Amino acid sequence: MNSNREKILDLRKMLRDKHGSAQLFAPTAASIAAADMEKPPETRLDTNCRKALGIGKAGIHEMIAEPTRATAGLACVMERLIFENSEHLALIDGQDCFDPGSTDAQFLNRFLWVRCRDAQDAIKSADWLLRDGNLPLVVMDLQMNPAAELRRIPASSWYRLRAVAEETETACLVFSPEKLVPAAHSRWSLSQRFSLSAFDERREDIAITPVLERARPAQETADFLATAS
Amino acid sequence: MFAVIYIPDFFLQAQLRDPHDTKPTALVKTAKKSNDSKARIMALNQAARDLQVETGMTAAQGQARCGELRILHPSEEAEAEAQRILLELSVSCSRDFEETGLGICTLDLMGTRCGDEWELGWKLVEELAKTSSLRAQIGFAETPDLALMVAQQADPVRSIAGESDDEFLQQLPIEALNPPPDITMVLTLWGIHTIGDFLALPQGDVAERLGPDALDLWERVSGKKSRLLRLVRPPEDFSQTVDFDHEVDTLEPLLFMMRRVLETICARLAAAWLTAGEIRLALHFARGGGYERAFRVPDPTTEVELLFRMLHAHLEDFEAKAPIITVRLEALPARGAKRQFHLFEPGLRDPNRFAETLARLEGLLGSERVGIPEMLDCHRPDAFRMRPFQEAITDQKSNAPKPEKSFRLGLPLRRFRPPIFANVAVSSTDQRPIQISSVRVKGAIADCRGPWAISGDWWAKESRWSRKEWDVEMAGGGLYRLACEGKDEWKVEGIYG
Repeated sequence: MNSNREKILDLRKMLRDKHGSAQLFAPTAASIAAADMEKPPETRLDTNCRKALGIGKAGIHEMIAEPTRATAGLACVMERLIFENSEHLALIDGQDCFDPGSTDAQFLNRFLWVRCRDAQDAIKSADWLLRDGNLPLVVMDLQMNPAAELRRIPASSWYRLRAVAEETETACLVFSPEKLVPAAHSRWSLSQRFSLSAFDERREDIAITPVLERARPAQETADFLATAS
Repeated sequence: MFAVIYIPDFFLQAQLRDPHDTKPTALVKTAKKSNDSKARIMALNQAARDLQVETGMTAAQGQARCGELRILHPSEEAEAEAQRILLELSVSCSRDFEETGLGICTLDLMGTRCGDEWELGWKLVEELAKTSSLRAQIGFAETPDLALMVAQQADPVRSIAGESDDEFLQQLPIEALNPPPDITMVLTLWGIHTIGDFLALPQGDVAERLGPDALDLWERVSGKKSRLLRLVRPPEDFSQTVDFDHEVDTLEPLLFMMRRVLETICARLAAAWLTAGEIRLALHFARGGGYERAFRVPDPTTEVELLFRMLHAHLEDFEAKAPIITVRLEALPARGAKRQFHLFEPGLRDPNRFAETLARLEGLLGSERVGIPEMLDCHRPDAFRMRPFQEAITDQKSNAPKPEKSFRLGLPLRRFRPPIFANVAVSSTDQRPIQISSVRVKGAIADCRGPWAISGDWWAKESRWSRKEWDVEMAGGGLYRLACEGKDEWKVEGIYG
């Protein structure tokens, strides 16, 4: 037992020396359980949407919204992301459902629209764009794709995309109809319900309040540390 | 040693290319055919000279001397063709030559293995006469100016190289120097009619009495001054065509050959301090037909690997109609990109790599599915076109303002492409939709707004359209847009969210 404990301490010291200021997360099983029981925090995307969503860092983030519910989803979030950033971004449209007529022309000039036919095309496109590394943010809209098609995407594909995104320092935001991305750095859910009265409000005044469901490091690290102790 | 190929009466010879044409012909100065009678004759063929027609006469006077006199006007096409023949002949003799004027080329024979200059001169005269019916005079001398003077007096070949220049020049009239009129007048008054007489004058006195222009003439004709030639360099060609020995129906041999061709082209570009701004690919198929495609290089470069990857990415998803027999690659040269990066707006990190990524995406999905959407100027729903991303980036001005917040109302629409046909039940009282049944959406409608009637192209019978749109809220949740075209043709356009 003591030798295992010493091993862990040596490992932590080695990692701290090597990676300097990087945080070293070591959630225990108890803290994980406690986090699950707590009410996840709500975030209002009024200003600094990207910071609020925590997608300033490279990696994959997921936003879940069931498509049949009236949720202020992709276009609103994208408009706010474009408004806040001067860089271009890419939209990988898994089912070719984006409506340019719903968005102001000034925002259209700032993003690359990739109109895919199915989820397979979307994964390939995401792989190429993340490897390219020229666009700092890639948004993947899989919300309208059939669930059966999305479930056929192996988990290893998502881990590979995450590794590529981290290597090229690109952030990837995935919109999905259900939990889909096991490798996501953070997972948000949108479950608001709107009625026809929403059409009387200005779009920027529409409250978008995603709920954070998960924001923790890869489970692999936690598992390793848990078994090592 | 220098040689000059001189074509006398070049403007006339350019048009009279038929050696059997003996009709007396004169070339007049103006191209205005309506004013022929007053136009001055600038060149004559031998047949016209024999009939006492002279240069400087008006066309009317010439025709008075010879009723059969044919009047020609200058032809730019004929002159260009004759000049091209002259330049090609010059290239075959020496790498260093100057296009001194129309019908005149000066060759630098230093370092060339031309052999005896007399033999070379006769060979050039015969070749021009045989292949293009042009009568040429060739002169050889130690300086370009002397060679030109000799060529103009040659009959048809003359060389003064190695001889005493004075011996030949003694007898040439002073007009052969083409001096300014004022100097000609003074020399004539002094009784100096030949170049020999002119060379007999002391150099210092010529400068003192006649000025720097006369001194320049004296030094040129004495051979003490030699000017540098303005050398002609043929335009570089950065293309290469490869004909396969057998038909190619797989990608690997095609890529192998294209890489080798690219290496050659890039080496030529690099030698000329240029980069490739665009690559043009042309394929020819075995049973006729071909394929052409141009690839714009965002950041001009001569990196073979980068250009090859761009072509490779495109050809991976390319299907040829038939086996390929010929491939041609051409690089359009460009200088390195000169652009100022914006201080607060970072540009693309690696434009060439991004172009390659875009090419891959276009190969996978099609060029009409990758780019920036641009709404068309009409009211038809979902009317847009896709602009290439690189083109849109280039068009954006450097001082484009940051986007302002949207003032749109309501929720954005997520479209179904194509729209989903639906059976919609409407209320009997106010014709509002109350029930939908379709593949995607089923159920009762809790609330709706509309209709909004829109139409377009009313002036064109084939393309006119009209529809009514509704925004509906389903009882089970979900906001949708319905459209009704015609009497009872309902479609679900999309879902709001």
